[in-house]
Amino acid sequence: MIMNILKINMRLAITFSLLLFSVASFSQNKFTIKGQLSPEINGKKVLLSYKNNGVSVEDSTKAEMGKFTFKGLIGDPAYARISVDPPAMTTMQNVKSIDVRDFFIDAGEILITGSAGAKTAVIKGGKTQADYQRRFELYKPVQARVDSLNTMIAGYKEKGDNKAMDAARLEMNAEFAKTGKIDSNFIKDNPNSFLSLDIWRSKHRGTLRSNFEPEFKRFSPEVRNTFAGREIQAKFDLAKKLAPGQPAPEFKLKDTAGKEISLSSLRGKNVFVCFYTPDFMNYDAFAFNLGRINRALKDKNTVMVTVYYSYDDRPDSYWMETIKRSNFNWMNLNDIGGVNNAGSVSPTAKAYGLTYYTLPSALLIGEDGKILASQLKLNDTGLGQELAQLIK
Amino acid sequence: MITVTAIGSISAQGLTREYLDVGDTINVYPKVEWIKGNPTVKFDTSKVYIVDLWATWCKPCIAAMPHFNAMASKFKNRGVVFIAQDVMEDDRQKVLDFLKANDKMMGFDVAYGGGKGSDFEREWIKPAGVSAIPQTFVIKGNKLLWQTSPDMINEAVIEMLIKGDFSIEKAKKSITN
Repeated sequence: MIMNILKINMRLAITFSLLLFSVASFSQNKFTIKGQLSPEINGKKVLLSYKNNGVSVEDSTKAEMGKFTFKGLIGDPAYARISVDPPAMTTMQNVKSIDVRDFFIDAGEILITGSAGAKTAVIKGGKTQADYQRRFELYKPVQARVDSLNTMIAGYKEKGDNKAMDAARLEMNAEFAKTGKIDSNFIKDNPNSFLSLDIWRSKHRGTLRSNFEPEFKRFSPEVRNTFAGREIQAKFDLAKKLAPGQPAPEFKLKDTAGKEISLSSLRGKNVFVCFYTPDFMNYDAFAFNLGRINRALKDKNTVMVTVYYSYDDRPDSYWMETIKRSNFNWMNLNDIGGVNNAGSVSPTAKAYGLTYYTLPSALLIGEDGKILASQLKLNDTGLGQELAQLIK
Repeated sequence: MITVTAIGSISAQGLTREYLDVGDTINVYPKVEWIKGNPTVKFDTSKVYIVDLWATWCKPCIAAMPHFNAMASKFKNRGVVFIAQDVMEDDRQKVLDFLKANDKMMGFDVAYGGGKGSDFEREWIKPAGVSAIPQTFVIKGNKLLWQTSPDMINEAVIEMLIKGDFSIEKAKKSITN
């Protein structure tokens, strides 16, 4: 299989979106895609997929004598994929022969023209597409070397030449490392490109802590003011609000008896609060470690609180089953429905930045209601001891 | 009045340990079969114990062995006991074969724990919440000091243990520096 390094990197970019705030409040602009490919492409389906400010959109039409049109609305420039006559399923066998092309949709008109299929067409659109094309050109020598190394590796594999195969793989890693250099230079040279921001956030996905803010500030105000930019800024602002020393946001949630408990009612005690969903990978180790933390904090005037979030397909009774199975013999609260696939819904989830991407998440709050520690590493077996030391 | 002692710190005979946390007391080694080196039955309070949990099927455990071996050959004459504790498998012969084939790489004490239902599983694996290996346990003065991974055990950490000024925080810093 030929790996397209550009595609791999970009796919990561579109799968990460926090959605801490509503998509609807951002202005939308019209775009039109006009295609003219080979006239032999007649009566065949053309599929367009993209993300509009983090929300997946799919559209399809039929090409007539190679001609097709798409119209739609878009917020930020959107990474998109167009495919002509796509198979029902992509497999290892047909992946090479699929006529597919990635590009960027900017507001306005986009022209896709060529004498064959989408793969070899010329795509002219707005600024982001021009940048994307420019980056593609920068990648070309690396892509060429990766392609030939792939062919070489397949040949060595057939011959059983492990030594040559390992050497080729090492060189492959070195080639991949070059793409990182190309990208960081591209970002540095193009602070006013939305593509730069897109590459940057995909590179740091999941690790965008507030110490990245100075780097983020190097992007132009225009880029920072996009939906994606404001989403990142919101994350930085939230991290500051939840930093040690800040007052922990209030919440009021129901316990297993249906009684409402507020965080402020626990003032005078330290509170270890962990927001979680059930059954993620390594859940049992996570649950065991909560027990460890509970044991480490038991003489430290601390209330242990776990707050349950659900998935769409679980009945609410699953909460009690989870508590029992996980041995959570402390204060259990729930905020069922507080997080869904669109992101944070309830006031508690919004205040603590909780989404399916960030759960489980925990904080230690002091007797005065101020945060003692946040962004805790919940899989660290020594966390309980560390937290115990924070409480004097 | 009923007095409930903390079960977590009891390892008296006949009583199964409920939890094994960092800071807990640990006096005796669970019942295992010592297949190389010197058996440890009771922990000697003057010594440092580094117990590495491994299995023949565990590739990262085996990958960590040369490092464990280098540490053992450097420190075993300075009151540090290195134990490679085989766990999570019940094919004893396979473990013996592995030991025979890799004898040079294993210059430390080796024990076979047995699979499910074994004493080691009851007294150590379950109470310590071990769900994946490799994992390394550090014991000194009848106390569990650290539950970590083999790559965290370096010369600086062992020196701290010998000297008696070990803390998890300091150990972690010595790794990142």
